[in-house]
Amino acid sequence: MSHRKKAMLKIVILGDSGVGKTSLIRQYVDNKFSTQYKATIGADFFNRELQVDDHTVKMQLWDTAGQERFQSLGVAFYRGADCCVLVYDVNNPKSFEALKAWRDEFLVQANPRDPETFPFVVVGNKVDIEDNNKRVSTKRAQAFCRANGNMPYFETSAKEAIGVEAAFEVIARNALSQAESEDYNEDFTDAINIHLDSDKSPCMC
Amino acid sequence: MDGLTHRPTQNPDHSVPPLETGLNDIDISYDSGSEHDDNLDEDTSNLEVFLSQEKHFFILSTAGKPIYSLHGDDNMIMSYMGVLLTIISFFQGQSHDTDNSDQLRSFTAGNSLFVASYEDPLILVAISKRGESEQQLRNQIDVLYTQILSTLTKSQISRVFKGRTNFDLRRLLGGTEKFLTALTREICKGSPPILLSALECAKLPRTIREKITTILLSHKSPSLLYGLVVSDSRLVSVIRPRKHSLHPPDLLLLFNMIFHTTAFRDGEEHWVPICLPKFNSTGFLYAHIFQFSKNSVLVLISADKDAFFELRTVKDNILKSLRRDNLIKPIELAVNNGFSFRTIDIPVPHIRHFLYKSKLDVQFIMPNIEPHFFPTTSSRKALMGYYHKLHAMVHAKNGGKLKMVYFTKGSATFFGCDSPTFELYFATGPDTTKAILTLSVRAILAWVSKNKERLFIMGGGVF
Amino acid sequence: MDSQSTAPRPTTSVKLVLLGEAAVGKSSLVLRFVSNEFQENKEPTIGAAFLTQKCSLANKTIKFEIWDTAGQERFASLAPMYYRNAQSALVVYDITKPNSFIKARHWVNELKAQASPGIIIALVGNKLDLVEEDTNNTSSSNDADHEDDETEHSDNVEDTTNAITEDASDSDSDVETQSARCVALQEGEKLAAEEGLLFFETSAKTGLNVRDVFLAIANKIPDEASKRRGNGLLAGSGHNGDSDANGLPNHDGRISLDASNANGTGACAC
Repeated sequence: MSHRKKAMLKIVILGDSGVGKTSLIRQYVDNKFSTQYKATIGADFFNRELQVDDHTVKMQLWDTAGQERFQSLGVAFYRGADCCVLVYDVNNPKSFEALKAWRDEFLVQANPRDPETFPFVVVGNKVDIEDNNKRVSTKRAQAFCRANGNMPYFETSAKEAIGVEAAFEVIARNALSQAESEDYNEDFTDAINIHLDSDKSPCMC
Repeated sequence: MDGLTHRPTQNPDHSVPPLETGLNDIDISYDSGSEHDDNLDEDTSNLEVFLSQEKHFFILSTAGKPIYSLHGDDNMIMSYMGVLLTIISFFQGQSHDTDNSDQLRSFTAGNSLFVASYEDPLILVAISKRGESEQQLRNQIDVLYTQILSTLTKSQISRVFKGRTNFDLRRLLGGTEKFLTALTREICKGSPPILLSALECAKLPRTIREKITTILLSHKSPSLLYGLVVSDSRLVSVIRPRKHSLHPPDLLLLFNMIFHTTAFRDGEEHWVPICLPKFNSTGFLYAHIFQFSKNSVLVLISADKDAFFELRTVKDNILKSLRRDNLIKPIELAVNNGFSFRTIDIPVPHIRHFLYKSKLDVQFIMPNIEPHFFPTTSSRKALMGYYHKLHAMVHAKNGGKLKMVYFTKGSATFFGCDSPTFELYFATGPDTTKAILTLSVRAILAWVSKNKERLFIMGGGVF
Repeated sequence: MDSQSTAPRPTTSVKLVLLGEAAVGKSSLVLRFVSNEFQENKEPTIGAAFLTQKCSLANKTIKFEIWDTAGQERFASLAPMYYRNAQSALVVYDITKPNSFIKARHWVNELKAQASPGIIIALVGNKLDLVEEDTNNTSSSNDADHEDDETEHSDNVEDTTNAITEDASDSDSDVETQSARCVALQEGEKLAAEEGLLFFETSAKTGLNVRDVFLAIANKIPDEASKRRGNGLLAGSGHNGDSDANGLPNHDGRISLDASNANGTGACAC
């Protein structure tokens, strides 16, 4: 029996509606226990377990709606995330241009300890649609990713199941190092100072 | 076999109504007939089973990462935790600072009551279909929270989450999930000490208890803060410094760890850092735990983590003295039969079973469930369910100093009262009158008063 | 175990601490050594357990005073309390869990840096029973249990059909055991050689090599003690005035290997 807990990772998926976040996730996860509440509470939740090196990790995927009325939930949604995935539609330049705003919004709401090193992964979805129609070039996307903290970049097609597995493997890996990044060598033995005897020496050491 | 089952008693002095079928509850539903544990046998990956459970407990971080769940495996609960967090956050408003905002405390959905507690950075949720009150559920999750505190301390939890809201607290709770599970198991069975936030003592003749206490006091050493002899979760004797008392909720955690798991009852000497939250939630004490007899344990607590060998000597000396004075046997006998007395053995006519709490001593007494009820888990659970209902009724917030309630269900009447100095709940026959109830209350109080030195530990050994 | 000698054998108390990641088998090793038992699914240790066990050697008896510590992260900073006055330590890892070996390395470093200078450390790679290629290690244990039989047969599974019927029920565990080892014997040997540690691979489950570890430590103890005596490092712990029959200092009291106690004024500076 293993007593080692599996690493629990919170992954937040952001992006304009219509870019295919949900399909992307559904393509990847174990659907058995997923929820369908996005319209009512602003988010859906999925999970998936996988191996990263010799760690077993469980990913808790938060698929949030972009809608206004759930704006105030941003803090709750983003708080404590181990990785943030920014998704856009390669055929929709507007959704690509929105990435910066999503990233900034996330950093504000999640308030990670070290924003510079917080792991983001960018996913350009819907590459199944013919290359001629692709409005955001791979080069452009990669440049953007490089310029904004060297974010890993993947092109995927949820529909054709292209690139999804690879993307999530990196997401898991980066999230895991974020989760385990600090070795808390704290002193876990807070002592309580108790003076029992009235005749104890006045020395307070 | 639902609810409680009665069986006839031989005692001619008490007119017990003839045996009928068991009680069939109307308002409150209970798991019926299952002798085995709620937790152990269930298929943790079966969604239907999960949803059908009567009670749930969830503990999560403010990021929505799971820390503990009574039912279901990780895959199942991960989504639920996200949903719970979202619903809760919806009511928390915009700010990061949870102090000033409106927090969702409870709500009802269908026949389920949801209760949420906030102990930043943790969120605790209890869900129940059993008709328990909000206060009861809140008390239950408080017990679970203090268990987490006893493992980590409040300071450590805060420190570890500072700037690290993504922290997975389960990494630090390794090995202690069984304590949480044991607590929830007790809660689901219906736990008198948790319901009443009080301790139970082993019933011993006063002189015997005094001798034991004297021995403890005589071997007290400089680093000793508390010394306890405990048998099967019942306190036999305790010594403490004049300035510091022991809080029953803390002892409840300690007894749970010792007697509801096998972590410390292996004949080995244990040296365990433990936080007693009601005593001081910011730091650790250290407990020397040693089982010296079948179900009896000596616990020596110090604030000094280096005091092990000193306390080891104390333990040796105490045990030597206890053996020399032939006190081990009385300790074993005190708890040998589970509960050492039955209602038919004491002058409380009409009473089939009762639960009495002395508020002053923060201790309770409860006789054997036999012979009026079968000693089965389901029977006990049903009985405790009635006591919970009574408890909820007398503690409902509508003023009054002395509150009394009673109701009849099938072939029994259940009565409860709450006064400034005591709480009393009991079961009696169906054809009862107010006069009989009053007489019954008086009879129990009189008997308790007469025997209080044997029933309660009053004062304890103080140094 | 020689109980025939007429001269009273001196008893030396030796403090021993077990360190290592959670679930590597520390408690199981101790249980095997102290009671010659094994429990499947043993529960994690909370805090620490203290046990004693005597080990009879040819010319002396060693009484081990053993701290079986919990391996969880949250107890890590308590470890100094247990190893501070220890003369010996078992640093345990699980040969099927590479992380536990990395952790073992950290423990060795910590002991070297913080524990008593002469502390005898045994590096122990446990759970040998989970691995198939232990046929070279002859078991010194009397516990020839089912598990043992399986691992021996797994080597023969390719050979003849005779073995197949015996293996029929074991097929699952054979598949498991084949690639279970993640820390090579050589890796453990290398670390031990680098750091001057005793080294054993053991199985608390079958008992293999368990007693050998403790015996090896027991045998090393007096050597260290007489070396230290020669170097005068025991100066200051003058309360141990007694000597045993061989002229060695009586170790029944706790030996303070930390010479700073020689000051006698204690830690308080006021």
